[in-house]
Amino acid sequence: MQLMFDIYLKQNNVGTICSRLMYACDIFVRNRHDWITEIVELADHKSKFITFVACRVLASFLIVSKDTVDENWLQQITENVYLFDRINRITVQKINFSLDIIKRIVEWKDVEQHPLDETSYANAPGTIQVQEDNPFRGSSSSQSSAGSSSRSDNLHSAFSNLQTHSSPSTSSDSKTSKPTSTFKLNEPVFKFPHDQSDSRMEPADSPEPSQSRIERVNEHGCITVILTDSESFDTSHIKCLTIKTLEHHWPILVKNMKLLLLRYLNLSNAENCILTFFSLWENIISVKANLSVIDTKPFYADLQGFVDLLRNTMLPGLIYAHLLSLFNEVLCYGSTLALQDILPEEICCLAHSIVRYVKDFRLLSEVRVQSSRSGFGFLEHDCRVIHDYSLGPDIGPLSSSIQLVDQSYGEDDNEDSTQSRTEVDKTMLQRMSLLVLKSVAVTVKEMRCDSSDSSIDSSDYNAIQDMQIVERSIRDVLKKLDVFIRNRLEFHPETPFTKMLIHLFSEQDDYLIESMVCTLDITVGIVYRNSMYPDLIPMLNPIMSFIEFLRVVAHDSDVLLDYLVSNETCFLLYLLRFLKYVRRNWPKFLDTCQQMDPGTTRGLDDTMRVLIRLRLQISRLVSKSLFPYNISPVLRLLEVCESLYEGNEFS
Amino acid sequence: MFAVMQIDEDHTRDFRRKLRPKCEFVCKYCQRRFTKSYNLMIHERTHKSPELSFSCEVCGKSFKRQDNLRQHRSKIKQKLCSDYRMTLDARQFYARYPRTGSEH
Repeated sequence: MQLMFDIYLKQNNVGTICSRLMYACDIFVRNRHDWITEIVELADHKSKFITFVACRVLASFLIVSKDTVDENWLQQITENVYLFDRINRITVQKINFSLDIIKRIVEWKDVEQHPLDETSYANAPGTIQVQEDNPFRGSSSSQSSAGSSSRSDNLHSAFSNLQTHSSPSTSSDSKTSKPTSTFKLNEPVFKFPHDQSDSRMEPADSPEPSQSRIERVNEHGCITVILTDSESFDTSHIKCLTIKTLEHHWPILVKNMKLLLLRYLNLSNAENCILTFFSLWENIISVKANLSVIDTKPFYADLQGFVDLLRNTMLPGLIYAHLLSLFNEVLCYGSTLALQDILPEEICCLAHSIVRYVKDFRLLSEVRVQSSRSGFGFLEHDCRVIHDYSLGPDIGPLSSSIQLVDQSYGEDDNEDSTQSRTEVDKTMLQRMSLLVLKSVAVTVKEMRCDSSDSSIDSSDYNAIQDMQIVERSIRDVLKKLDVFIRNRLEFHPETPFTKMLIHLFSEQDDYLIESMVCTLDITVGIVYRNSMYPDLIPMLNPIMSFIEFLRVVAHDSDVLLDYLVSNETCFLLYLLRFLKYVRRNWPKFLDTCQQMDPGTTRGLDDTMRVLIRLRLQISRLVSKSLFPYNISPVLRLLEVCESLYEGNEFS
Repeated sequence: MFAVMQIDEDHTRDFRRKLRPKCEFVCKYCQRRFTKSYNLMIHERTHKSPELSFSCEVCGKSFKRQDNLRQHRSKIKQKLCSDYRMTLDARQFYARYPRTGSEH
């Protein structure tokens, strides 16, 4: 069943579904023998393999059934979450089971294709031939994964023919060719494809409307259904329904999870269950889940109660890391908050709490970011780490001892084992630092909105005093963050703060760019307020971070272009704001470039060369109308900076 | 949460200054509100699976990042070189596939 649903979903994405597959799925949706209850009852099965597959089957099935879903099924699944008398091993396992199903539904992406995934190539024999003799090509051309340019048709068919004749080599290939081969076995049945489709029509019209389908028979005798209605690709309904069902039981679930976390952590599976819970929460709140902010509002309510847990440094490392990840998702600064004028209250409260914890409760000095014994965070208490793994004596003296788990950066660590023991968990460090930065940025932004509010009179002494308190704590927090990163990563005492940040985040580009947006916005916010703490300005200098960032990407404008085109980072927002900042602070830009490369104009020239090259690349794409969105504001700013640069050279 | 107040009567005039009624742009995916259309566009890009914009000249497959396309090109080139040497005229192949790797 799992395999079948997976193939259905894969074909659904492409837009053509084998009609037999559709028929089979229709039967399952009908649920005549109540198979769903039977599978839900597997939740407390002893074998973890069975519960795992049962969970995946239900999740895929619910996504397949989409609009025809029966709400009772969802009720049945969520019952596990609240219908029990006391917490024990079985209930924990059942909760985990249900949460995992819901998590899989929420995190489902409508178009899920990895850029390096060559499955559309493996699919070539099936899909492309349908395309080739498909008179409705125009209607399905919007699906880019299936569309092939007509100019390469002959080459293409040669390619797909060869693919068909070659034996399947990859696993995905054999998987996708399975339906076609079964149909070959059933040759006699498929001599009458029309009869088949007629018999299919009879039961099919009740669950799903069939007039929107177009059927094609390809040369293998395989009937494929071409989907043209947009609803076939939209899973937002099932997601919304699932969330609604969960919403009623959310407070009780949160209560139980907290209980589990504080008292029953020694139960087997408890840690696992809590991790599932946190990932589910994160997925619901994530901007990328495409859920309405109104539907997800109830899920913000209990966040405040979990901020306290950050102070509990004795939590297992993995749970702590997930907690940080959840809060980072809530403070969706680069994707959303930075662009809004009015920030939601719950988010501001969360940011304030974190700022306060860092300032008053020494959160940063107490948090454990040392990775426990091994370099792997997931090897927690019970795992014994193999330090020396000896191969058999017949291997020879050269490789008699291999360090298996203590994988560190260089060979030095092999000699100095104490160093590898105190090695810093960089992911944890990154998450913590980003969280603090975003909290400060949110606080600054909120302060800025308040101060522009005309209802606060400039003579309002209390308001001004409040602002000053907030400003002082922001300064305090940033200084603490500076010390925190400097100590943990053992930077030179004189390394600038901005440079440390770039290097801390250098291998995690979404964090890196979001942190740059934060420092830029904090700087602009502080200057705007005429802050009484001028020492923060050089500490956060956004121009210095940009120059350091260019060094990390080796002054390659292609990288910047890729960041702009893809939506994996908030680079568009960053570049736009950064260029505006440079335009307003041109002398400072010149100064900082000079400072980074004293004595020459190389710093300035290198930076400008990248920006000019980027402008040329963008305008070339724009002129061919290949740029995927309106980039003109950035283009204009790049031109302004260029003219400032040229004007400067001649003066 | 962000209810839009209808301000028509005269006696609410002075509120108008404080509220500064702005036109609002609402995200069609999550209903979050923004005051600038370009900000909404930047935000909405987070929701979309990105428009695939770098497409391969041979098979039409699209990529959202140039480096992924480059990787794909080298892969397809190897494949073509090994599988199609017999079926495809080399000149025809290189006409489609300039050796220098054309850029957009």
